Amino acid sequence: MVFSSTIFLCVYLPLVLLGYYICPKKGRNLFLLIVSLVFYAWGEPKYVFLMIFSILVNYIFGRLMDKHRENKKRMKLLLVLSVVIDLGLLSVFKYTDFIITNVNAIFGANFDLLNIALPIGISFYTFQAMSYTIDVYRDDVRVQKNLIDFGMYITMFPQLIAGPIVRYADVQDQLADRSVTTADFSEGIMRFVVGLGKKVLLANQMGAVWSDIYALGGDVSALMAWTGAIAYTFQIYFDFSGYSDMAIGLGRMFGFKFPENFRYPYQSVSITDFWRRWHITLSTWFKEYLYIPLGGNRRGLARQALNLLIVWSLTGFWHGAGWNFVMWGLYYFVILFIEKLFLLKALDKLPKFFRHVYALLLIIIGWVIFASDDVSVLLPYLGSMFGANGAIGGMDVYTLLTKAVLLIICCIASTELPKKLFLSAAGAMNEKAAFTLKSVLMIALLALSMILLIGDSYNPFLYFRF
Amino acid sequence: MKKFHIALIALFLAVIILPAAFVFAGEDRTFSDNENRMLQTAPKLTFDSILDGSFQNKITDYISDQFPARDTWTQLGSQVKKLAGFKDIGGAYLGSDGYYMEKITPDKVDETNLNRNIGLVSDFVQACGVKTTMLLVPATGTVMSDKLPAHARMYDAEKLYNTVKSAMPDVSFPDLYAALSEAKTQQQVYYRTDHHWTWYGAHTAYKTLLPDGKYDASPELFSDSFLGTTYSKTLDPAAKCDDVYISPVSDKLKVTADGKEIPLYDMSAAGEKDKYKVFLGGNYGETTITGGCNNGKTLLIIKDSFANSLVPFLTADYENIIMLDLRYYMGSAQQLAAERNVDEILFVCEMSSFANDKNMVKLGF
Repeated sequence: MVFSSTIFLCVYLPLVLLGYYICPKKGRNLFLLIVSLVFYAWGEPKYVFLMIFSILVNYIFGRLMDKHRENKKRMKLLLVLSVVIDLGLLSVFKYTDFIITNVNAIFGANFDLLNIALPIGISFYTFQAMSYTIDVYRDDVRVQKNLIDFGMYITMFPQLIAGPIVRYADVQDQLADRSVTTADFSEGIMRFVVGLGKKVLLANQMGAVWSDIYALGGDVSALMAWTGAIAYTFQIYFDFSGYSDMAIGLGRMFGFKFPENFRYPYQSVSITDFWRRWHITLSTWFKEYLYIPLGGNRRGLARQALNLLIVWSLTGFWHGAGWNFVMWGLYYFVILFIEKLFLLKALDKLPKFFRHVYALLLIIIGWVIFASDDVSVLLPYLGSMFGANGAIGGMDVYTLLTKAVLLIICCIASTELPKKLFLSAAGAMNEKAAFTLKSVLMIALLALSMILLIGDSYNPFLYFRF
Repeated sequence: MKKFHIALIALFLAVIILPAAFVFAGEDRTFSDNENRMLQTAPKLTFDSILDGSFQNKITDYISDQFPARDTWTQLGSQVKKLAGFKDIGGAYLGSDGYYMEKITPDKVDETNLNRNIGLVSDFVQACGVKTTMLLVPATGTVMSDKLPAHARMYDAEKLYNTVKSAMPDVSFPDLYAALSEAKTQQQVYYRTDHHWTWYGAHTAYKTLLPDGKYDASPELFSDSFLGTTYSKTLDPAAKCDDVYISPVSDKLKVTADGKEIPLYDMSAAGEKDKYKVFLGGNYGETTITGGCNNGKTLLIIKDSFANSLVPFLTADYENIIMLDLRYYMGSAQQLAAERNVDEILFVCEMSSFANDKNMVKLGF
């Protein structure tokens, strides 16, 4: 189930909210666990067992490590085992066909693809589970003896499918005890509605622009190529951050405080800055559980370079089983390392405007790499961006003119400006007036989102063409 | 302050709960006129349907198909998009003077498939060995390009016409693009709200095909309230209705569609949404029309729906007309042409659908 669907919004969510608040406090975690399994099984009835297996493995290893806390060696062995199982499952279900394809290509072998469908959310819940076992090993969190509470942490439907990656340490206290005030709940609603609006009003529309342009196969005018690249840049941000907003908002409705995942990443002044603002929970995860254990920046420049290379290749690869994602990771490794070496200092001397331009250009080109699941389109597309097929031509002016309003709205909505405007307007009002204004805006945004959500499900039968 | 929070919570819950309550409490609609498709009705809950996921898919469709006042929401959605500057909605251009035109950009013409179809048709023509004519119908937006939104593009009808023409030297190709471009200065040749041609457009094609054709009756108004398929894509409340005219024909005509006798004009279409259905009542695999004249000539038409409003004229020039719609026809067209002593073959097909049609392979059967 996706959040931006009528079945979630109008049926699942009201029922779950009702059930949750009818339920006595003691049973609420069990209730959330069950409805989360339903949520997951909705589209993946079979893979729900894979997730349950993953829950059991990490739960049991957590308990075992806790039991053998005195025996460092045994603990380490247990940790390694659990990590191997977690990453093993992830590899089998996410990367098998990619590996087979490449083995076939490199060695001229002819292994059949297994055509394993990717279990939704596996990259997210695997990383969440690992944050628990690793932190138990490090004694950074208390062991969870209640299987229901632990299962609920892994499956929690708000962040199950697309993050944020909530580390166990972030919510361990909330699992045992949390409360929701009306203020929390209404704040959760507002956050959810903002996310829904981002997804339905902006991401979906920009996605349509990008997919039309990408379908042309890369040989397009420079104007068209940039329009497409910028459309995708907005699509991925509003899609992903919208989903995080919805997750955080839903979490609030159930009394959870999830970590923030985005901080206006397109306002960055460097790529180093960008990665402090983009998918923060993922970067944090890699930093905590990979970069720092590898030695981080404490073992000299050469070792730091190697560590960064490892982290960024894997960050890329985590996003999907394709070379475009690996290239995208390596692309950021190169830029980040250059920035560390000298560029960041040089950039500091430039006026802020140029630093924004620098960061945005690299981010946009990065997204083109990221989006090119057909790697053979990537070079022609990048070529087109730099004029290989002329400056203008085809439908580019039409596309740009008819989507100009939307693009401008996207530009504004991806910055802090709307928030600042609201705060300055609210500053002149009393608390009640400001809240009323905000509520009216939110209900309007909800209505507008629902209009496009239903209007776009409009799906004429092709038979009509004749 | 607490009251304010509660008010927002109540409002939010009302907005998300009420529609679903209406869906479950209300009666199901089974058909959408605007989309010309069956709607999902309340699915049955069984263990198997949950396990294979079909229940989940159906109930998802159910909620969105039965959403209260769904067409109104869609209309509002179109208005929002129009306000945001969109010039095409749901695959239709919002043209000037109330024209809603199918958006068929140059990249939507599948060149590989086009070449395959050219080969299939050439083989078919050779196998049949009778005089063959092809009417490639240009889509509205190509002929009416002056009504397209600024900078919008359609496929290049002249280029496509020349490509197909030069690949098939044995077939004659009346130039409909030129004829319709000329005719549009006189009268409306395409509907504004539908992708088909008007009576005048079809008549222009008839006169281009048979300059000495015998049909000469004047058209009669069938309906003045036609809102067709391209309108349905946008559901733009600003749309103006089209007039639908029909051509009076001999009352001795006998029309058979897939073995069943039907009238040439389905007058009940006046009460339906799709008024173009007045022509034969829709599309069938095989339609035969006999008795329009007494010259013993037999014409085989391989067609899409553009032919439905053209064929009434042809009844004055061919005693027997057999129309095959390859989307629904499962027999062998070659065998049929031989058995029925077909004198001439006519293809009637919109250009991009000719290029993209996957059914031409049936011509080889």
